Amino acid sequence: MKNKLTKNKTILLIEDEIPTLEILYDRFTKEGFRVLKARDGENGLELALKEHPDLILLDIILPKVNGIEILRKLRADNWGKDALVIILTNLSDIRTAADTLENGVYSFMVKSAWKLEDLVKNVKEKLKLR
Amino acid sequence: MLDRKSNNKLKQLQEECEALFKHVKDIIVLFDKKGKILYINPAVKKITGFSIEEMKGKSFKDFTFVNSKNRRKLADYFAKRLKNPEDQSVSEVEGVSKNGRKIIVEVSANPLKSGRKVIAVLVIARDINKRKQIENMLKDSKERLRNMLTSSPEAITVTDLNGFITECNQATLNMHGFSSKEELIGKKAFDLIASKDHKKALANMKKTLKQGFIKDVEYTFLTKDGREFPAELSASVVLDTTGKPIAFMAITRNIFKHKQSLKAGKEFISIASHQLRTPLAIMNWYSEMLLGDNTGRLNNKQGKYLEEIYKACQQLVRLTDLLLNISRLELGTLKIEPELVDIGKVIDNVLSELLLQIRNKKIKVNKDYGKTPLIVNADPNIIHIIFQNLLSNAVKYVHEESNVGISIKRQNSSFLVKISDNGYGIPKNQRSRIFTKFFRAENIREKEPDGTGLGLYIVKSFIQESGGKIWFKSEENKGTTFYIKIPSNIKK
Repeated sequence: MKNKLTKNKTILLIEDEIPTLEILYDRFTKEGFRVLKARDGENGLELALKEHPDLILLDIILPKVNGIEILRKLRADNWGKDALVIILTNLSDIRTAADTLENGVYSFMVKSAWKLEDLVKNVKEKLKLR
Repeated sequence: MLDRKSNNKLKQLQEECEALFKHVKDIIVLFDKKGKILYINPAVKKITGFSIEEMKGKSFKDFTFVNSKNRRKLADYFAKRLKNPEDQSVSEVEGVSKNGRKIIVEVSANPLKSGRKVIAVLVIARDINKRKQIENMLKDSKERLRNMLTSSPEAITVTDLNGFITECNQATLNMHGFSSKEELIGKKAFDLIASKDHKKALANMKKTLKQGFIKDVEYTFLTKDGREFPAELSASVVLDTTGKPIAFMAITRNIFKHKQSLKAGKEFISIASHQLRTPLAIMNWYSEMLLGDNTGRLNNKQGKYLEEIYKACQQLVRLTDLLLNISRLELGTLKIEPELVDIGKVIDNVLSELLLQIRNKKIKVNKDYGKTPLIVNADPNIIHIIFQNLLSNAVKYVHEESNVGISIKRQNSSFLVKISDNGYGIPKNQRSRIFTKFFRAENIREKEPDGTGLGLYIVKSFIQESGGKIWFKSEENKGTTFYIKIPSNIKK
């Protein structure tokens, strides 16, 4: 049943840590989503603007273009300005920077503080799948 | 030659002097118009060592105990006084006494008239040797003080009560890039502070005047060419001998380097936390996937072992967060971002996180939140950390089937939260130390070897940062009650 809801939704993972990227890929694929992977900021931004995913899980510390920069560039784009983004990082201290960019409407999750299960829940909530 | 009338007057004067000045401590001399001594009182012996007999009939020009330079000075002074009797000036004359001691006297001469004619000059010579010594001592100590100020490696600036600079030292000049004192003296001290800090500086000036001093306030200061630098200032009010404020004295320290190293520390923590959390998140998520049946069922043993790994990971996450919070507190980088928070909801969230432990130990939780809304303007993370620590302690340090009570009451502009248990309690001799970093009470070290001794330290620091208060009552083997007062509007 749930696959029906998630099948036509695309999630873009922008994450440079391979084990993290893979477990997120496995978990969301299992949930039925179509999942795209990017391992650096440049590739991530390119994929986002080309594929227009329904939601982006965005790391902050990334090779080439960092997460905050990606967010800034997305928000300047016609499609990207409304794109759903969840910042998934371990840097709790940059929350303020992210909030400022997101005009207060943030989705900011510290990786080590969340279960995968809760992350999935949060994603579905954002996509109004629940 | 004097006329008869004048002569009589002179004689009368001499007689009057004999009668009046015998016991006066100052030397009193009556000179005739030519400068010859008509009368001199006994004080002359004490001050100069010369007797009345030795002095009488002499002219001041014959004073061998005064050198020629001082004799000329005396002659000039007398001439000036004769020419202008209204002038009240005095003169200081130095000499050497009969037995070789230094004499310094303050001389005042008063022409005496008969009709319009000056017939004599009454001179009072006061021994000011002692006064001079004291004056010199004062001058010396003033000089020494000035030298200390000048050579101090700390930047010292003195201003009047209106904030105009009256004195400063080399270190001040160096710090602000001025080349001479003249450039600064007379300037307003505020000209050295960036305008964005003027309001704060004015308030602090008033505060200093009120309490007598101020310590370590930070301003952005300016160099001569307008470059900004951070500095810490301590100042005190200088009082005169009657206790009236007359000046401010400030010591200013450039803290640019200090701030830089703080920043480096902050960055290090940020990086370290990221580095620690990355593998933790990986361990957590992979364990979660295995436990969650995503890869086929594990047998009982495998499941149990994995459960332990997962639990240890969670413990590591908590420790990392704890250490991060401590370094933030100690580096002063803790950010308080207040929003409207429902304390009751925060506590309920914490309770649901602790549900497993509460169930396993069959603990009964009694809640009494009252009816009023429990909204405070506070940082939700901080409030969460406070109650997470207190409640997990309450659950941890009780026997099975114990009671934990939570009550919240509104008290004027704050909330009083009471968290009570009927558990192990805190031994009497250790109660004063329970908020100390790394301290763990003896009676629980064996029962719960895993504690860090950091929880209550963090709780107390966070509550203090938020302007609240925490205290407790405890009895060993009967239980502990913590009282937490949180202002409903927490300062940012």
